[in-house]
Amino acid sequence: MTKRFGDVVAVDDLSLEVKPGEFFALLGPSGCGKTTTLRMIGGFEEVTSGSVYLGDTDVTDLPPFKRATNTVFQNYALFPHLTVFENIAFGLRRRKTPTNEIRHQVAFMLKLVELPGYEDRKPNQLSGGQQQRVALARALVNNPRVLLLDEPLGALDLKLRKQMQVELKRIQSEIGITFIFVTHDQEEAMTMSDRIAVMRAGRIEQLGQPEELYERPRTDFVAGFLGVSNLIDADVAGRDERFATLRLDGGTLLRAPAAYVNGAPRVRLGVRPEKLRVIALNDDTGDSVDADTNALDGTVLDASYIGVSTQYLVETPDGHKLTVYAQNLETSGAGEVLADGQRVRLTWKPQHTFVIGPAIGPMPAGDAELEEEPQVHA
Amino acid sequence: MPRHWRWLVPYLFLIPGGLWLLAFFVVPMLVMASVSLQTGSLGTGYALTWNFGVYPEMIGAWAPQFERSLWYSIVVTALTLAVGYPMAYTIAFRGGRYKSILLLLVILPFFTAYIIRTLSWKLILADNGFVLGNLKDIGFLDDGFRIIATPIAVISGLTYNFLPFMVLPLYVALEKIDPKLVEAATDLYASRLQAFLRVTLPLSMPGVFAGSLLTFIPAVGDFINSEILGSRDTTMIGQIIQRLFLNNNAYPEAAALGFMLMAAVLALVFIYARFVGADELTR
Amino acid sequence: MRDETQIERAIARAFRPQRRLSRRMFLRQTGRGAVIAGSALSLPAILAACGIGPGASTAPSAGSQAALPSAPAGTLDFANWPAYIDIDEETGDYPTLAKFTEESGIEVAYTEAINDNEEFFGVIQPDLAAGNPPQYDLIVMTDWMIEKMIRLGYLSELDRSKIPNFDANALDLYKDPWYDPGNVHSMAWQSGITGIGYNPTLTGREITTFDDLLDPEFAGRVGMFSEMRDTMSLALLSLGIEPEEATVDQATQAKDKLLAAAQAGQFRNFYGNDYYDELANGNLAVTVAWSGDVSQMKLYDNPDVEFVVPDTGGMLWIDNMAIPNKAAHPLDAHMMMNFWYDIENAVPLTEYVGYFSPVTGVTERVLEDAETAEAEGDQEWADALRVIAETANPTDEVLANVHNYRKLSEEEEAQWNDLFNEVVAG
Repeated sequence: MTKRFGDVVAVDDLSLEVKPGEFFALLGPSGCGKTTTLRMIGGFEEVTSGSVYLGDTDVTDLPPFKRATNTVFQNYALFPHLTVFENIAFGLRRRKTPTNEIRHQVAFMLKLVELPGYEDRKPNQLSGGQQQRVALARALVNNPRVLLLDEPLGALDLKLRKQMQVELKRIQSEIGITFIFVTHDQEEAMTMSDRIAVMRAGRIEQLGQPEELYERPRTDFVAGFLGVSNLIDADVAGRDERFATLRLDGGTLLRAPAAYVNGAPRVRLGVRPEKLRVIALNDDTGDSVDADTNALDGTVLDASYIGVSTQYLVETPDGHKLTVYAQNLETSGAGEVLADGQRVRLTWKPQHTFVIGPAIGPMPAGDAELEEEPQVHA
Repeated sequence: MPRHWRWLVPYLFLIPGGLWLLAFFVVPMLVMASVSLQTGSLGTGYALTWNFGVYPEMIGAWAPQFERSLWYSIVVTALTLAVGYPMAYTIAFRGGRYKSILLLLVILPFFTAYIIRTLSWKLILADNGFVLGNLKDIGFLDDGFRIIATPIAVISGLTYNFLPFMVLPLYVALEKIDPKLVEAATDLYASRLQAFLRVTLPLSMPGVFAGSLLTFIPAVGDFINSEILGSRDTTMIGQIIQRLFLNNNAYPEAAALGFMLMAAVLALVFIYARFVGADELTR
Repeated sequence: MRDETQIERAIARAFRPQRRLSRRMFLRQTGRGAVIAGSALSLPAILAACGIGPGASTAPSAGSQAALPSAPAGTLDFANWPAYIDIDEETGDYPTLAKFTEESGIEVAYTEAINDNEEFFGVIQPDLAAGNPPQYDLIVMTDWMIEKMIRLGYLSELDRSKIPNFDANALDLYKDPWYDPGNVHSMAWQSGITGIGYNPTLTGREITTFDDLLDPEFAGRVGMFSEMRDTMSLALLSLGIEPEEATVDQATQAKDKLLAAAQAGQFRNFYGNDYYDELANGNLAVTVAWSGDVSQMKLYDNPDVEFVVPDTGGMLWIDNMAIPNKAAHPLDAHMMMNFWYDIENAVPLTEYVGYFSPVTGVTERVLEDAETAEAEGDQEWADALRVIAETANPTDEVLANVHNYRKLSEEEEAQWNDLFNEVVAG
């Protein structure tokens, strides 16, 4: 589907399928079209071209109040003139639910979000986290087929956010409703989601399970947006069953899983900083490297001790700068950190190398193929 | 200032406004109250004789004009609300980048004197003026038809003149409403009409209340519209007060009427506040 | 009926040319409005009530004369009615006033502040009652108000030696008038008659008497004055009662007659100056009117209108210059009064305002000017001047059928006001 605002294409021919009961995240920086996508699913924005299906039903032209979706809005959009009870009961009342039933269901929801006894409060008498729960209850009480959440935790402070992440996940698994949520926080998306669509400029950059996106980013953008990556360009020098050999411009040979490399003569390889081991090179250190290990020599440019790890910036002779997170397994204090200017060797396992190439073949595992009928299909 | 005097600071800020109110509201009110209870004449001077009888006397004499003023003002308030709400709503929610221009247009008439604005209507709608005259010439209207010197002219004039007083507070109230709340309502199975009735309207009530007061209170005391656009049969209480005060120099009677008008307006405002919900005012 | 002339009329309405009196009409309108607004909003008016002292007791006793300074102060605050002095239509200046300034060196702050005798009295009364210096040095008030203000001791006595032109040039009609015997406090500015103005094309017949105003045929197209004395006096005359001698009982009869008509919807409204436009633009078919207005209207705004003194009698009113007590610049005010009784200055005034002039020989001079204008080829102006000359002085026939206002005591005035208030407020 596509959404245009005047000349601006907010969502560009985006295609997406979400499975029933899935906790699905749309992740991306602001302005990437993730909220617009969510709003099109919810019916708040007209679709310029394309269509939205809920199960088998085409809901493209239905207004929000005729869709079996409910939304938890950014900043919650609780009705300030209504009590917590009436906020939660709002949808039920519109659907002419009997009063007894309303009372019963609202009570159930308040219990689910752990706010019993707050029925008569007004929203402005609640803390941010409590408002969040009411917004959730207000949407869930309608038993939607899909719950849409727009930056649901964005307004909370860090500690509460962590707590609500767990809470949301608990509630979702308790009631088994499909959640589609929008966030710009990659950690939040990683923690909660079954699958994540990373968006950029109105398109999906990559869609997959969190670990797949992290371990095997397929674009520069994904590699940079989810965590930190060291990226180096290289030529494909050869391949065997398991590994492809890549030659850096300086001549160093590195290996990567063969499946990641597909035909292109020049690729960009990447490795996460925490996968690197750093060894101080002394005059007596030999050149021998384990054949199963990738190795790269360099000089420490900068070192900072940050408690759980030490962060190094290492420069290779041909000018690449690599970030290394060294677990402080054996060191005990800033005094044992390698000094600036120290020559070091970085080593990692070839299977930890990922490849971003101009032509990328099918992924080896964790495919997006669906075993079930999609719940949301846009 | 020593620390233990700090609590005084907010009260100090109140002093200028307080003095202003004292000098230009409280003192004149007391003077008016005193005058209303005096008897005498220009030749002999006036003396305070606690003549409370003037109040029932004035009520008895001018009840019809009193009732008419209240009645006109209620109609005018309802009309400005009916006309102004859609205007304010459109500007607040659909105005986009034209918001400030549209608001400027609403208050533009204020750049002309109130009297001139009202007089111009008298010229525009003269019996054989450009509008009515031509409609009569093409046979659309009967030759005897007129608008000026009718209650319709007075009510329309008041509605026209007070419309900005309604639109501006309504706009402020509506503009504050997060459009997400309306989306939330439609998401929760409210049709657009229901969303308006259950969310937008209740949340705009402070604006409705403020606009109603700003329209109703000056409209009750207005005498210009009736003087210029009306006739004998549209005489409003403000005209009576003005006539008693300035033309007849009947100061006690005029003061008594003025006081009763204020009391009546206050009473109605309290009833209205109850009806609308006073808590809406404080939020 | 809907023929071409109708369409022509409509077009003419849409593109009505600027006439000489357009500014005059504008002044009437805005002047009235300004007074309404001013009186409503001014704090002094509200606080006025606070200082209601007895009239004469705090003021110098009536008849006293403040000693005039030996030299003029060089400034003068002059309050007059709208469009009651000659105005240069193009520049908005006052040519004859400018001449006065040139000759005397006195700067005149001229304000068109007066729209209604009672309203203006209501505005200045608090200062006069409190014995404070008034805002104005020279005011123009109608005869009955002059009488009332003299009674309250609000006007200072004139020094006749400073106004030689009055004794030399004033017409007898304006000397020793009923409201100010011996002209001790006042001298006429202009005068006129309250009668009936009507539009024969709208009435379809000649109007001769006050009862024609009550003809149901004209219901809703009749104008009345909101000024109590004019309206009540004309009604009294229609009942065969001389207003000068009318009792409260007789005034009640007049009130009943007016009230019955008002309640039947006979009157479109009760007007101040604004009756002029309503008659000129055809909203009114017939109305109580002032003589000079109607001749002006006939000339410049609506050629159809006519003025008539009702056969039951009309009211002669004289507007007078007077100096309030404790005025800041009394000598300057005397000089101004003397100035207007010079025929050279009286003529341009009359040629502009079109009311009766109190100065001898004005009619002849206006006719002379008409001939000059004709000779110079300005036929339109010549015709206008001839009309003005005709009305520049009342004929003996007219004077025989006009009356003066009653000297109302304060108690009577309150009673008459109460009666009349019933009529004007429905």
